Amino acid sequence: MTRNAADAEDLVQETFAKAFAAPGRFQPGTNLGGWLYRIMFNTFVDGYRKRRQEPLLAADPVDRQTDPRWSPGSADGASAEEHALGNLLQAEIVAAIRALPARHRLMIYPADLKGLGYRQIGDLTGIPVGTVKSSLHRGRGQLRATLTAHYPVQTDDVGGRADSCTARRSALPTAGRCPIGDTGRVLVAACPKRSPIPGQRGLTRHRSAGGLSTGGCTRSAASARESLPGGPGGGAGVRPGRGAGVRAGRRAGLRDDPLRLPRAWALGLQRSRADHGPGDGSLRIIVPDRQLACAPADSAEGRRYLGAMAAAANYGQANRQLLSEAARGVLSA
Amino acid sequence: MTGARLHLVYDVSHNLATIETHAGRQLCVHRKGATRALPPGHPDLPADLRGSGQPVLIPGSMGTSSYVMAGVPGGGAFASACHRAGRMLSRRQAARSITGAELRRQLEGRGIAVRGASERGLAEETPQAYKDVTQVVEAAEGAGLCRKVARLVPLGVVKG
Repeated sequence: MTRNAADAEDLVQETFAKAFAAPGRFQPGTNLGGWLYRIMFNTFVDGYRKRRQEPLLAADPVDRQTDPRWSPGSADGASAEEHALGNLLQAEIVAAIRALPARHRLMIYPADLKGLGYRQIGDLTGIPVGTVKSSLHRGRGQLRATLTAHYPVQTDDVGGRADSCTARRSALPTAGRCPIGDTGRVLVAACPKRSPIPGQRGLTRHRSAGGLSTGGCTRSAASARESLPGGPGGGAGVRPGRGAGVRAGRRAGLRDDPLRLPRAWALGLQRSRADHGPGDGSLRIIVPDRQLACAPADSAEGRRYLGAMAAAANYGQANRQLLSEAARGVLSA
Repeated sequence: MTGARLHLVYDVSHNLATIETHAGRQLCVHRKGATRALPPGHPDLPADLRGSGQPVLIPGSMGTSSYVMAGVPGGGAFASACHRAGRMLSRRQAARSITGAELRRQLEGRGIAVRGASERGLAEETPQAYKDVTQVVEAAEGAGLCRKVARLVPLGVVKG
């Protein structure tokens, strides 16, 4: 609400102060959270109307650099670069996932790298939950076979199925560190009976964490199409049902392998019915904000975007040359 | 000033995404609010900059210093550094905090020539709207992103 930590704290304090000052106004049996929220909302609106008259400091101008809430994970002293590289998948794992048939890969990513539940994946892709489960089972089996070949585990040492994740983790060359960070999610992927991320399966949790909902996705995907250089192309005006994208993607064989840019998939990726090949503007990438666009860097859209950016840089440089020349003219006149 | 010659020393574009190789991987590095700061000896640097590392210009504001920095080895941020002192006030907030005429008087009172600015455009760029550039530069150097080379003070400002 406040876009500013200090104001947020003040708002919460004022809300509770008002609530304690007038406990009689709360009707027992009704929703306490809702009542408090209503007080908070009214307090905020009142304050907003008052503050509109005064110039304001921007939201937390310096805090983002020093406030630990804005730099998660830096406590271990690792640099931003180390964090970013640590979050990339190891080449063998990328290759193993990439080798999976598209229908299995499509399930592995949201389930085992993003921690979505069966139902969420079903909602996102329009694929029936039973099919999600069976595709995941086969995909994980195949992935386990490939990864076990890369990182052989002595079955004698494993001591039961539940420990196989740990055993496999210690067999990795990075000495106990999971190749995609410390979560071990890819390794868990090799153990089909274990939930990838406990506690992250409910749809509610998913929504609050990522702000994703199917309604929002459609809008975001549409705006992503529009924002890409080259325009909406064949995708203009086409809003396929939620299932159509993936089915069309399967038919098309997912030519732009999304795993080359895991981040693009981090927000979910489908192809629309209008998929006639790379570069037709029909990537459907779900982003949490309408102002964002997203495409794999080496897709036709991504390449066009980078090309346009390079052209803009050249234009800027030429423009500055002209300005410099004009300045030269003034100084030498 | 007439008869003076003007040489281009350095020109760079900010806020760009480029395909680069880091730690043996090909990555798309998008520097937003940042600029490339290649370390000395990097093969992408032209010969005359190879010894010093890539120049990093950190302009302050119309009324404060600007700094010339240079890239250093092992910056830990994909060879990047900030490219300015960030805003503390939005343009709108800045324009409300001071009038353009008042700011012009202040700058000219300190011997800084002001040209080509609308009153509103000038007020948007008031030095109070920016973080203290000296602190920003100290932080960038302290974080090992780049090193200080020179401090510049403004003689004149042109706002388009």
